[in-house]
Amino acid sequence: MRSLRGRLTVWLLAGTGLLLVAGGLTLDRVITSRLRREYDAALIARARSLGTLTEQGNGRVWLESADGGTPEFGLRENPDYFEIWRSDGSVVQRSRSLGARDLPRAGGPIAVPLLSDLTLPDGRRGREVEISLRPRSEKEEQEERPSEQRSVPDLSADNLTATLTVAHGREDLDAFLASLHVTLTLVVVVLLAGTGVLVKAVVGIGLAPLDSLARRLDGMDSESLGERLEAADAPAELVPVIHHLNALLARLDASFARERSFSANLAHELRTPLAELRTMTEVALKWPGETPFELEALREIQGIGLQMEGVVVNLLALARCDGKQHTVWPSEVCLRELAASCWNAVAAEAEGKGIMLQLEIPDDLTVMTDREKLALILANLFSNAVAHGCRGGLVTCSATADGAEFSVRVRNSTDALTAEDLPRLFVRFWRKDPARSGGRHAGLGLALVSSLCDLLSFEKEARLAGGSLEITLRGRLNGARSAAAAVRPTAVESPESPRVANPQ
Amino acid sequence: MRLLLIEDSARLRATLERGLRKAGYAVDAAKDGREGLWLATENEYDVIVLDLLLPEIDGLTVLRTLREKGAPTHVLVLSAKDMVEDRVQGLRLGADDYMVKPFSFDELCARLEALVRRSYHAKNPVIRIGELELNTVARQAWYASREVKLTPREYGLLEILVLRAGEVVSRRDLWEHLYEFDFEAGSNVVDVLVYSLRKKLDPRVPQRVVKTRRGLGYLIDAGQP
Repeated sequence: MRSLRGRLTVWLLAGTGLLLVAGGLTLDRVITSRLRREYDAALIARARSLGTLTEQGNGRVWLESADGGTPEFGLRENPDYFEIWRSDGSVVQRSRSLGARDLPRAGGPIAVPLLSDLTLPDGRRGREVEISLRPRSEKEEQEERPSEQRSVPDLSADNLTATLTVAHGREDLDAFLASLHVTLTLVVVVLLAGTGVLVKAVVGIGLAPLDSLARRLDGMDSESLGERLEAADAPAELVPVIHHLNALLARLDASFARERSFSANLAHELRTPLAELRTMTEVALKWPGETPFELEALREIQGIGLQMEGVVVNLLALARCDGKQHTVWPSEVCLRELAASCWNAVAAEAEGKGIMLQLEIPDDLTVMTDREKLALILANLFSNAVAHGCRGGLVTCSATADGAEFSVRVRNSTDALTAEDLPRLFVRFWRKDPARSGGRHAGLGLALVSSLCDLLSFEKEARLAGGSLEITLRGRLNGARSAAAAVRPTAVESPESPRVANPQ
Repeated sequence: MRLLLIEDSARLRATLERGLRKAGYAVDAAKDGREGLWLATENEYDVIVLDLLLPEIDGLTVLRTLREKGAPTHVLVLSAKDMVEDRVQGLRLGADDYMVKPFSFDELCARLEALVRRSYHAKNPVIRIGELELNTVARQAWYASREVKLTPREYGLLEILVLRAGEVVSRRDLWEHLYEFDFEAGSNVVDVLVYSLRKKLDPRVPQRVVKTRRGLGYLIDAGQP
């Protein structure tokens, strides 16, 4: 059963029902047992009382009163019965109600009264008690009398024993017990029904805050993620749940906002170049034959194509990182050689802005990592440094090894960033300029750096220091040689190797 | 007709400037919101084409500021923001039209023409005044059932005078609607243009259609035969 309400109701009803039934049965058992004991005690007392009327003398045993002194043993409706035997098994006396019939007996001497159920001679259910007794002798009777009443002859004492069985109908007891069973059963059933109603009401009251919470959550959608659940009036058990839900809603809200921002930024990054393409081609087609304009338009169209290609390539690379579709192929990578080669991709643009690269990486510092992906990281960091660095500035790329770890640091002067911008540097499509003017950088380069760092298990850190942006990557050497040689600063000016990346 | 184009994308701005000029508009262009707002405040334009995501001052702020200053100029928003709420916000702030990038250049021209007509309270794109007929969509003119071949600037001059038929339009007014902000020309450039238009419309009686009001300007009589 998956419903909390159903589970609580069933378990509470089952538990309460079990307790009620067990209680009813116990009560029934106790009362029945007590009544039976009292009944049996009364029967034994009656037998003993009857036994006091037996006498012996001269080798004979007799009953002082022929019908036991009570009319119950007589000829009447629903009578009681008794029978007395001598120790040799001969019948001393039967009640008149018994006639010539016998009551069942165990026989032999009985230490304690023997009780048993039986069917009475008249067919009723009954109960009998069998006791052993020693009838009083006449001598004992004489001694009990006051002295003036004692008879003169000295009778010899007799020592005969007898067995007395008294049987009594138990219809009253059975009727009372049956009535008791019915009453207790009815009480249990009524209590169970009452408990059912009570359990339903209590469960309903108890779960009402949960229902309220469920209704509140049911009414929420992507537009109301900014709202929060009220914990002030909630039961203590629900407060942590509400706090967790609110935290989840906050994360969802932030996630939706990022998603909306991502979609809007992506739309802008693609719509603008598409608009440029479309307008250029339409204008060129509308007034054909203007060769200079057409040539210029073709050059622009090529630029737009490269720009869009860059966005798509970076998005694809990010999607592959997200989908963990990239495989890491480790190889021994010389950091200095790789950094110099990556700088070539941006060297022309850097030259145009008068920006120089200073390499501070030991010649023999090698790391065991994926060369292609590290190259992509460095190329994007250099591209970012050149695009946003100050004109005539310096880009410094340094690397050091410490024990089993290495770090690579790319530093460029900048006057555009503030400390508030640092947490957003690696966010996809983030650009300092909210208008997103200028098409070459879409704000994906550092996001790709971040994803690739995760893939290569590098730690990354961005900080502003002395008017410069410094991005540091830290990773493990993974068994590659660490540098012991002194750092040899070198300025790299001209591209020599092929372009290794398409930075954005 | 004179337009102000406020667009931060250099490629799109240059292409639109060229295309709209070819279509007969005088176009001033601004690369950011601050420059655009200054131009819009300092000059009189028939229509402003406004991007929303702009450096310095964003497009919505430009629009809001213009409307707060009471500028009646029609504004066509041209933006990559395509959500309904973006359009609603733009229109509610006082934009007269909204186009999403990428867009059709022909559709942009058509919408600009519609906004220009609305500026002069003309709903029908074909305007007839006596024997003169002007199709503001095809940008063609006929006089006495004969098509008159006009340059974009001559067509612009005729369109202003037709749309404001019966009203004397000053030389300065004509100059402001026909030439860009940074256009440098002699003081009689409008007179030369009027002369050229008159000759093309009716070489035998040049002043029949476009009349001169000395010291005031030019007009086309709304009730002329």
